[in-house]
Amino acid sequence: MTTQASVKGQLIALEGTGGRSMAVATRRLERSLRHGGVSAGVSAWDASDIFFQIAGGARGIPAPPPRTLIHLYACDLAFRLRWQIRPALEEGTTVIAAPYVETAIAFGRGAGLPQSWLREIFSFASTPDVCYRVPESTIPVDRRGKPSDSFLEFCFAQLRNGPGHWETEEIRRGFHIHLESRSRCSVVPQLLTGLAATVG
Amino acid sequence: MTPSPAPRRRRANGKLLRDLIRAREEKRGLLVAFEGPDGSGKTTQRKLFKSWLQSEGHEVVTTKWNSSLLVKPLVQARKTAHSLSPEEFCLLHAADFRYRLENEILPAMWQGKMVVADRFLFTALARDAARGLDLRWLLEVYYPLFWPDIVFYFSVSPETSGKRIASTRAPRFYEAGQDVTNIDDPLESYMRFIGRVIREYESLALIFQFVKVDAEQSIFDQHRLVRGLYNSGQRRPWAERNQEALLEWLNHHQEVVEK
Repeated sequence: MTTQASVKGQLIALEGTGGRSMAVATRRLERSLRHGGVSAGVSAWDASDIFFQIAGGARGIPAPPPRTLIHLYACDLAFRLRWQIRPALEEGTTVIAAPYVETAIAFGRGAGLPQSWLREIFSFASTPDVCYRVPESTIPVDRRGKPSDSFLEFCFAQLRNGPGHWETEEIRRGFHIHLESRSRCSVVPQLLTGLAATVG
Repeated sequence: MTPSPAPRRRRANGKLLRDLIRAREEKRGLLVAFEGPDGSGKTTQRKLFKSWLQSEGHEVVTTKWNSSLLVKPLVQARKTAHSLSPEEFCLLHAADFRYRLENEILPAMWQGKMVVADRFLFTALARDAARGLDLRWLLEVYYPLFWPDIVFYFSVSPETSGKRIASTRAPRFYEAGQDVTNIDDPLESYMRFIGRVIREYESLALIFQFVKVDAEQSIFDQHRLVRGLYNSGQRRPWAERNQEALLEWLNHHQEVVEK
């Protein structure tokens, strides 16, 4: 990415399992951008409250299948693009979308959905200027996040309720395979310390 | 590259599941969809048809548009707040549809029950296309498509639809398409929007081979026609059009396979 401090209005996608690791990376990246004189904002998962409302109202009813979860994620992302991301980009603000499209695609791939279908569903979303994946390996399992703060954990909590049989650890493995080797996201070694130097 | 485990397992199960679908063909229930614009009288006909099927000894399940316990409250709240863009409107309804397909429609059909759908995915295709969304993208959103055994399409003119709706109430915001017409008067907006919806329906009727019913006829004549068309309709094997959706569902519902 060829950017300078004076270039504004970029879209940076942070992809990953979410939870604490994502929150920390997002916070540090935002802070670094601001220190570098770049106007920056964050667009986070479930800004539309769709998943929050489902978590509150879906007890005792059959869990949504993966395609439904993808539709819901896409709906939330459409909301974020309309109310947060596009207006901020138009004002010249750099937006950190955490997570963005690849997180949902990685979940869908892990659940066995076709990549072409997933890409088509999200074709309404602007391509980010840069995409990073947030590594999870250093985060202890008990600090990876609750269903309420991570799309992936939310999906697992839903799928475990049935009635379908979903092997969530298998989906998690597929998720990582996609993000690490098939997505367009790269890990920046200095992500949590000096990422701003590479983008602004 | 290492293939991810889920597709690998699906391929291994594929033959077994295809055999299972074939073996179920004779016992499965049928899916009959009632489609048409608002005010076309399809709900009245759906109720009459359901009563008739029950009188013939069938166990019948009804599924209505936007009715799942999971998604309906989300849609209602956002409709009340007039806060949905065409994409969000489309995706929420697609979520509701897929949820009902996998949790209500397919299990009932598999158990041999008749399913009568008051609106099906064609409602979304017609309305969302009328809102300006690309039909090709809409077909992807609903992929893999699940085709009913019969789609009865109740055809009316925009004028008749408008008159019938206006005789009972004012059209609601999204029903009137006010989110895309930007017309303040609900009825005026409705008349403009429903014309577009009907044009989309007419195209879909050709593509998807709907059974067309002239909804300007009397209720009794329409019902008699629906019964006759149903009785003379040819039954298509599941595998012909719906194999992909069925395989995807069966692959994660071992309880169905084991029974």
